[in-house]
Amino acid sequence: MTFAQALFLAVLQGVSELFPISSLGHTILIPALLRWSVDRSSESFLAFVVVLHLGTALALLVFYRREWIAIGGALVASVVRGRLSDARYEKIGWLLVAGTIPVGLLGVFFESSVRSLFGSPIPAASFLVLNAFVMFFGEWLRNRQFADSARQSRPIEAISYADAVKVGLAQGLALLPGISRSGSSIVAGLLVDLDHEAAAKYSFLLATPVILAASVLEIPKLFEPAAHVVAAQAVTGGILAGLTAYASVAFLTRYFEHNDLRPFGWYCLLAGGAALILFTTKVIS
Amino acid sequence: MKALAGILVVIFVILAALAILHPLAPGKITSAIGFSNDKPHIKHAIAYFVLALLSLVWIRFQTNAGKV
Repeated sequence: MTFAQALFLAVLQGVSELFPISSLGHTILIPALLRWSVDRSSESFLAFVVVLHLGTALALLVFYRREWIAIGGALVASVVRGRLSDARYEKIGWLLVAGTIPVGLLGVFFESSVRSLFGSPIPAASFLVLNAFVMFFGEWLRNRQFADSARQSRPIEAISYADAVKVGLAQGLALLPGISRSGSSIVAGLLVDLDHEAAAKYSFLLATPVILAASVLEIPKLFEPAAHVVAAQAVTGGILAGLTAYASVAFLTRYFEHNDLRPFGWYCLLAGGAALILFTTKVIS
Repeated sequence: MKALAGILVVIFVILAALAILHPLAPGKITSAIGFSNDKPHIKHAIAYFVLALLSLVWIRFQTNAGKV
C-alpha cells in the first residue's frame, strides 16, 4: 500500500463510516475495482485500519462531546442513586446501553466468521444493492405509517428499551460488508417513530461506543512489528479519517433536518449494481 | 428478578473465565463463543465481564426498586 493509497482509504473510511453507504463494503470494493494489491488480512493493514477507526470514533466523541458528558454523568448518577428516572440524558444513556448489547455481542461472536464468508467483492456489491433496498423500504414504510394516522415522531428519550434493542440488532446487520451501520440503524430508528434528524443522531451516538470498543480492543495490533512499517501512514490516515468523519457527521446532522435516505439508496443501488456487473462478468477479477 | 440478575452475574463470570482459559477443541460454536483452544479470546472475555457488570447494575436497581 502506497502513501497515496493509504490517504485515499483514510478519507474513504472517514466519509463512508458515517454516510449510510457502508465503509466496509467500500474498503473491499474500491481497492478491488482499482486493482490495488492490498492484503486486507496482513498485520500492517489491520493496524492501519485500527487507527482509522480510532480517528473516526474520536471525531464522533468530539462532535457529540456535550451529549457524552451529560450521558456519562447521568448514567453514573443513576447507578449511585440505584434508581432509574425519566431524565433525558439518563434515559438516552440506558437506551444506548440496551442498543449496544446486541450489536456488541453480534460483533464479538460472529464478526470473524461473517468476514471470512462475505469479505470479497461480489458479496460486498450484492449487499450494497440490498442496502439500497433497505433504505428505500424503510422510507416507504415510514411514509405509509405516517400517512394513515395522526402518528407523530417521538424524541429519542421517548422510545422504549425494546425499541432500542431493535435498533441495536439492526445495526448488527452492518457486520455484512455492504450493509451500512448508520443506514440500517437510521431505518430502524425511523420505524420506531424517530424523525430523520433524531434517528441519525441516535445512530451516530450508538455507533460511537461500538467503533471505539472495536478499535480499542485491537490496539495491541499497533505494537506488532509489522505495524511499525505503516506507522506514518497510520498516524496521517487516522488524523485524516478523524477530520473527514467530523465533517461528515456535521454535514449529515444538517442534511437529515430536512432530507431523507433515498439519495444514498440510489447511490448504493448504482454503485453496488455497477460493481456487481463488473465482478460477475469478470471485467474486473 | 434480583435472583435472576444474581444468577446472570455468576453465569457471565464463569463464561468470562472459560473464554480466558479457552479449554475446548476448535469448532464453529466453540470458536464463536470464545471457548476454543486455538487462541486466547480476550474480546469474548471482556464482553462477558461487561455483561456481568451490567447484571450487577441491574441488581443495584432491583435493590432500590420501590423505595421512595
